[in-house]
Amino acid sequence: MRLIHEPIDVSPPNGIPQSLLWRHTSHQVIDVLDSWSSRRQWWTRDETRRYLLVRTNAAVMEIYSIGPRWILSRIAD
Amino acid sequence: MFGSLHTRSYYSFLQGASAPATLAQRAAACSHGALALTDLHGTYGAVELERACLLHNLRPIIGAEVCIDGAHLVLVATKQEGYASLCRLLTAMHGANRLNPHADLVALTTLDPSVAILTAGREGRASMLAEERRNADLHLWLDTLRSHATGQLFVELNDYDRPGWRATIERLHDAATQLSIPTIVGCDVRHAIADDYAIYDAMTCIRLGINVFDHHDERPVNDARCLRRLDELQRRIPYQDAFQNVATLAAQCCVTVLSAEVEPPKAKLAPNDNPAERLQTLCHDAFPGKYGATTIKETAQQQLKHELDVISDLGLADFFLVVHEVILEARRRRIRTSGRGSAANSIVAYLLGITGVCPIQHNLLFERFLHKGRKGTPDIDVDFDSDRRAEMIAWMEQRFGHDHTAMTATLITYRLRMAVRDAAKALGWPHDISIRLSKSVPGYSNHPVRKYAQAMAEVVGQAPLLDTLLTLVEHIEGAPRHLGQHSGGMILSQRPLWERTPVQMSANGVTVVQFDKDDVEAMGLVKFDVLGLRMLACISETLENVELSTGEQINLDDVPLDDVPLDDENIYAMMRQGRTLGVFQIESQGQMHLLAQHQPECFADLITEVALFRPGPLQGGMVHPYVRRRRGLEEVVHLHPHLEDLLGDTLGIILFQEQVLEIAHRFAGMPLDEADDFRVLVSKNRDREAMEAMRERFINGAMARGVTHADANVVYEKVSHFVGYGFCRSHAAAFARIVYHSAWLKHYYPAAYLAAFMQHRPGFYNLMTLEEEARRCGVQMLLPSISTSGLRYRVEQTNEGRLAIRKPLTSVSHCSTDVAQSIVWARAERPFVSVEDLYVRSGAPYDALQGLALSGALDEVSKNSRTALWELGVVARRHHRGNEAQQTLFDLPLVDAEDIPQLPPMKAQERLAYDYTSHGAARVHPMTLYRRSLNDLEIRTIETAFRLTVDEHARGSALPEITVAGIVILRQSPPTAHGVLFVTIEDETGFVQCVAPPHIRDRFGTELRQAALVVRARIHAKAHWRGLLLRDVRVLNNVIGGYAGHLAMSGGRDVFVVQP
Repeated sequence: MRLIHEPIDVSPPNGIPQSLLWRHTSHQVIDVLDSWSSRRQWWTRDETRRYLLVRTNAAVMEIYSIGPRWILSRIAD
Repeated sequence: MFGSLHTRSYYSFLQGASAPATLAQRAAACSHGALALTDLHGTYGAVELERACLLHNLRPIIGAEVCIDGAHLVLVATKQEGYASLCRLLTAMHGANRLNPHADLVALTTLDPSVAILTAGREGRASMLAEERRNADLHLWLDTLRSHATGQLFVELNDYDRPGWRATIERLHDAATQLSIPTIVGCDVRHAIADDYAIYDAMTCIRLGINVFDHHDERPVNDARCLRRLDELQRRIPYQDAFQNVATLAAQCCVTVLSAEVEPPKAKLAPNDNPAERLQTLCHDAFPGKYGATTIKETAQQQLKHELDVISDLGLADFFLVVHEVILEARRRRIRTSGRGSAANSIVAYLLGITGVCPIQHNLLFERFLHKGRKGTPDIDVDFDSDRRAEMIAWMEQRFGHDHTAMTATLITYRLRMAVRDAAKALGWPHDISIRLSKSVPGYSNHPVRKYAQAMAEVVGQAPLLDTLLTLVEHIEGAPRHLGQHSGGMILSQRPLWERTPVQMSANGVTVVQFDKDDVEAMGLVKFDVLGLRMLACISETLENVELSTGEQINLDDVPLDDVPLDDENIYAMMRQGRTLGVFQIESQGQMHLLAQHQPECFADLITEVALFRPGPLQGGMVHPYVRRRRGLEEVVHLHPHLEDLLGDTLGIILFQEQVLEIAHRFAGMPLDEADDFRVLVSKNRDREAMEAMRERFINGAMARGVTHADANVVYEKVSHFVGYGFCRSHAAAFARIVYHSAWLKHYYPAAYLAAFMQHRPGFYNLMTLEEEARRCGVQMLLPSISTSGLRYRVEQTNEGRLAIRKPLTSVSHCSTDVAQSIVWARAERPFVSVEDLYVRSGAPYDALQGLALSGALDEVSKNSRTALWELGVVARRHHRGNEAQQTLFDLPLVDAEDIPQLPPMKAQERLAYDYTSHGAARVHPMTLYRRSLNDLEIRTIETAFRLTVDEHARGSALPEITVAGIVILRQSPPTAHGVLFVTIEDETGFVQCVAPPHIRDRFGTELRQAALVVRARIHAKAHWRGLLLRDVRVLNNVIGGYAGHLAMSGGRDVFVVQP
């Protein structure tokens, strides 16, 4: 998987994602393959990342949310 | 009903972050109906869990996580038989390996069918195999488990919210379904709430010795291991059957560890003999000997009848008979014992010889020890000669059975300083900074850590992590760190202990249960405190020394020393004069001062003396009013006429725990059990809310007895000030007896007593001070001798016919007991004739022989110490042994003994220095070498301060001033002294306490840490006692000796230098 780490638009922003908008291209979510959370570095900034591994019409993408923001973490073409 | 079936609390020792009570509170908040505690290899928190579950209306489930065949499993007891079976397995596992308890799979076949087995979480083999997609191995493992399990087996499903875990759960569920093994949701909880994740992570780092910046697979990655609501879990684990199985299993669990009934061990009785009747017979047999000719016979009879009734009603006759049996065995072996604590309130204990103080004569309250409303078992504490306590413990294990005896545990918890150090290390601060941070806070404190934030900031500045550190410490402080062993609490059980508790081995090979004394009491187990008291060993050895040196036997009858009169005026005079160094409990400078104020005249005064010098009376401001009233300087006033009976003998002052209980009972009308709770509450002074509730109860009760609200309130205020640690009268009386006996022996048999005292060292003065005290008592100290010294301090008769103390070989540095034994065995063959003879035949190492040569012990087989050292070097090289440090690649040429030159004798300074380094004390006091110079500067001896007449009532400049010099033998700054430092200095004429108030302490901080001082001070007097109120402090250089016997010498100059 390639490391991306760029902001991504997810709709709906809460609940199960239906589509993703990344670099002006829309991707339809076909399936949520896995989900997990990570709460690291509590001693500096205590933040929980909610990860989703989704299969879209174009690729398998690993995205995560911190609060309302979504980040595309990695992508497998 | 849902609940976590797999929960580790902080009783997993850094492998769980929350207390069972916190977990129960959270479980209730999550609407759970049950909570299991499955700590690693133990049921340490079972009592706390059960109490917390009762409070929150949860079903308590007891189990443990264990390591079987290298993999973790969770065992849950559903019935009492299952719990016993679990305890037995845990005991066997701890027995197999103390540090890493484990068992083989076969062990599962020994479990009771009522123990359910869960395949555990990520540490379990099933989860690991599923995670690694090794399906065939997973099937094989589950099948193996099923074939070994005697009871129900469940495949545990947990949600860790980790990548790939959903697939792992699927594989586990599929495998279980294929093998027809039910699944169950375990939860695998490590902390109560999500935010405690950080605490758990920090604890993991501490346990693994890493810091938060290090990666480790055992560290948590998220907060999923907290207690979660059922609906949340159901969204994550899509198997309804696994949730239903939780409810089914939880409903089956009905184990309890709390017991309403006490189970004392069975006494040895004749067939058809009744324990209560046997106890009665024993007491009646002993009665005439102790009360036959006394005026209190009638009262004693009534009291005996009352106590026997209470003991019989509570079913404790067996327990008393068992303790009696232990005491009899100790006597048979001539092991000295002394009952202490509240047991001394009992006439039954007195008649059985368990305690040595008559409760009638000394007005001791039985109800403080035992009453019909008492919850749990009574405490019987017995001190044994510390040298032979292990012998008694071994006998008790033999007598009652190894499965029926074990020591009570003590939970070693994180104290402030250690919590700061470990948390700082976990946060990545370097070792030296972590140490400095930890030293910026007190070792133990009742204050929150944030009170010390400023002091910590001085070490690390305003570091961003400082606040995180403080938060961590707040949570870690008080958490269990490891299990320790209680100093003496031995459990004697009727049934095998493994039916009630797992038993494990302590580091020193003693079996210990997994519960502390409070838990043990709650479980209905009977604890008997077998304590070691070095003063008893000292008294025993004194009597042996007397017999060996003079042939005189001092009453070694059934009640030892009882024929020593308790009213010898010489003894009280000695105490009043403060000559109590080496006397049990009253040898500190503070006690000497109090003795001078109190002026004890009888045994009752001694009981009070012992009780007065405790934090309770000291902090409650009760000492000075009592002393003034005792000396007739203040009128005795009672707060209320109803209290006259209760406080009459302590002149209207509350000094003893019993008085608090009696006031609550007789003044405020509380039933005895409630009055006892009140006493405990007042003594601990921790629970403000409970205290307020008790105030209302107290005042209302007193008003119902005709006391006005205002008066009741005044009395309550006074009673509630009896805070902190105070003695019960019975304990003080038992100790006072030992105080008196030790004083009596010191007064009449100083050589025998001080020899034993130096052997056992039950006090806190160093050897040099003890040797000075011996000289002050007219007892000569004899140096260690290779021809006559043995392994113990011994009394010898000098040529002048006086008794002296011979120092043993073991008093010499590097001369261990083993080395001393080898020397004595070789000497028993024939006396040593030379250093070479000693070297060859004893086989002693070079270091030990060098110590002996330096001490002068070899002077008898050589010309002098210096020559002995030379000879030792020669023979060591000749025989190629020892002193590895001085060996060279090439052997040095042999030196013939004839080649030893005429060496000059040692100078006085050298002699003193070698005395200190080799046997811990000088043959003359170091200050004697400087007396002439000190006299020239008008620096007086300490004795001068005692000779001067000083007006006791004078204050400030009216007090005479003196300049004295001495070596520092003691420094104390007790918490009750509010920053005052007490420094005791000593010269060849005596010792005196110097008082440094805070401003003097600040001004002369550096000087007061030195080993020898010149001080200018005002003399403060109380009768024979003298104290020095410091005004100026200078350092006395080049003097040997000082605090803890270390050297203060910085050169070989013959004159001292007073620093400007």
